[in-house]
This record gives sequence, C-alpha cells and structure tokens, in this order.
Amino acid sequence: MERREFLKAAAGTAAAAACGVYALRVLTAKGMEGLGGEEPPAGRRWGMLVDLAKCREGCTVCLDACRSENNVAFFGDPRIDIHWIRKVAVRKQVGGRTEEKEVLLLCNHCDEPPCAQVCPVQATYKRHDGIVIVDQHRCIGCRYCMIACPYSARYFNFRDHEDWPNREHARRSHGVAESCNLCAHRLDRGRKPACVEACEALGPAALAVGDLNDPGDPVAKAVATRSVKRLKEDLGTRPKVYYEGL
Amino acid sequence: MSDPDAPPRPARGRRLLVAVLAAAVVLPLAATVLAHAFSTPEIPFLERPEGRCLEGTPFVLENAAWMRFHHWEFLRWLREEAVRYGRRGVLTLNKCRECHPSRAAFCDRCHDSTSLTPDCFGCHYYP
Repeated sequence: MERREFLKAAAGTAAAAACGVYALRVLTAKGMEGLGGEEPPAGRRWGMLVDLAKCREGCTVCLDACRSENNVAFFGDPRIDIHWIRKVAVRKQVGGRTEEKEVLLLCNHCDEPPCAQVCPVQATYKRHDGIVIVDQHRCIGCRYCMIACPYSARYFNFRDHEDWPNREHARRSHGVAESCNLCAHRLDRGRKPACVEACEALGPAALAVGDLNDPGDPVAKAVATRSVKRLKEDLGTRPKVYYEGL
Repeated sequence: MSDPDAPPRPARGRRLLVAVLAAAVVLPLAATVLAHAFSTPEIPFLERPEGRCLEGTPFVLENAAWMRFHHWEFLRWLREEAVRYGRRGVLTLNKCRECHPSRAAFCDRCHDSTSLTPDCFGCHYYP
C-alpha cells in the first residue's frame, strides 16, 4: 500500500470513529418539543395583588404553605431565619391616633430589580415573564443582592437545614441567597403559587397572581381600575406586587 | 537533478532508526485511541431496571451508553432550560428517581470510582 493511501485510510477510520461516538441515536422523540418542556407563552408578565382588607389578622396559612412548598429554612433563630413571605406590623398615624396593620411582605419582583443589577454572576436575574429569580446553581453567596434590595426580601443560607417537607422540590444548601420566586416552578406548569392556593383554600382569597399584560386578567383589571399601591414606588424599582387597602 | 550544494541525505541506517522510533511513539497511541473508539464500554455494576428509559413519555431514551458519559451535560442543559427559560418538561431528576430509586446504586458507584462529587444532591432529593 502506498503511504498516501494508508494515511487516507487511517484518517477515514479515525473520522468515522469520532463521528460514531456522537452520531448515536440518543432519544427517540415522538415530539421533540416535549423534551425540555413547553415553550411558555411569550409576553407574559406575572404580578401579584394582595388585598389587605381580606387578609386575616394573625393568619399564617400562606406563610406555612410557602415554607412547606419551597422548603424554606426555619431555624428558630431570628438572625438567620429565612422568610420568602412574611407579615410585618406597619404603624401609621391617622389623625391623632396610631393605627397598626399587618402587611404581607415578599419579593416585589421589580421591573427594575436592583438585586439583579448588582449580581456579579447573573445568578439573580429577571425572567422573560418578569419573575425575579435566583439561580442557586450560579450564586456565589456574595450577598450583594441582600444589600441592594430595598424591601429586605432577600435571605442568606447561613447554615444547611435538615427539614425537607417537599421532596419533589429542591431545597437550598449553605452559602446561597434566596427569595420568593413566585413559585415559578408551579406557574410554569400552569398552577398557582402555594401561598395563593392556600389562601383560596382557606376562603379569603386575599392573594391573587395574574398576567399584567393580559387586559382580561382579574389581577390586571384590578391594578388598572382599583386603588392599588406599591411599596417604595419613589425608588423607581417598579414592583409588580400590588397592595389594596394599604 | 540534485543540487550539489544541498546537504547530503542521511544514511539509510539513520532513516530506519528514525522510522522505528516514530513508530514506537505513534503505534501505541493509535492502538489506544482505536481501541477506545471501537470498544463498547462495559460498566456492569450500574443498576438497570426493566424496560426502556422514559417509556410512556413523549420521548424515549435509547442509548444508555451515551447517557453514561454525557448525562451531566444533558442534565445541565435541562437545568438551564428550566431555571433560566422556564421550559419545564417531564424530565427532571425526580423522573430519574422513579426508575432508579437508589442513588448509591445508580449515581454514586460511578461517581465514587471516578472520584467525582457532584453537588446536585445537597439540594435535590435523591435518597
């Protein structure tokens, strides 16, 4: 055999071997679009409406539902406890007297999220549908987002925790930041967030989630027609959590 | 027509020596590469349930050998799809768990023998 012919044959064999490794049939798809999941409808913009007039004093159903759905850590130590949604007492002067009101606080899913702007690794980012979400796979635990968030809605996992109530869903390990993600995993599958579902099951339905870009959506209608407020609107973060009766 | 100023060609014996040395380097390498390319990897100790992977879903995983060496790329792609773009399908780590319930038998044996410590399981449940 000529040397040229030998080299040609050798190169051909090597190329065939290299291609063979990657040309194996991996998946037989009856519909390839089902592989990574459905493409979510474009142009959605999730928002939440909290009706404080319906919210019951001292009720913690949504808080508990969030904890058990998202495996949010609770250590019993207020310095390191994590709350995706929490209740705070807000005092305000009305005339001569002081009124106290319980207000639900959660991540406001700002349209201009300061947490996403400061994140050095793009672990925190705003999704195409407006949800501000932490990708814990990328988070390096620098806690810039906690400093940037004007609503103190961000928490850090100072420790690992043992509780794992919802084993179908991930928990967070030590060293990453987290906050409410509006139950993105449920919204993507067409379900309501855990807090909304729990509040509706209880009766008052003080919480509602909807597409603000859809004019027919009850939440979008309420935001457009009723008297709603957002928190710290002067900061220009343009939150998507609206409060009625604040 | 040879150039009279050109350096003399090396002696026949020296050329042979060079050829033998080159062959000594190239042939074992080529043999290893070709052996790997044509061998079907045998990893008999992984847990293998009955039936085909993901039967009953819109797609069926055909090639276990590919999955063995590329599952991490595949899972990472699925992760990016779900976390970054909100495209969540039936395929999740939980889905793997349905047929391969034991992490020790399905994941850890290979990871241990290759001394890899993926940090999936700190946050994702896989007993």
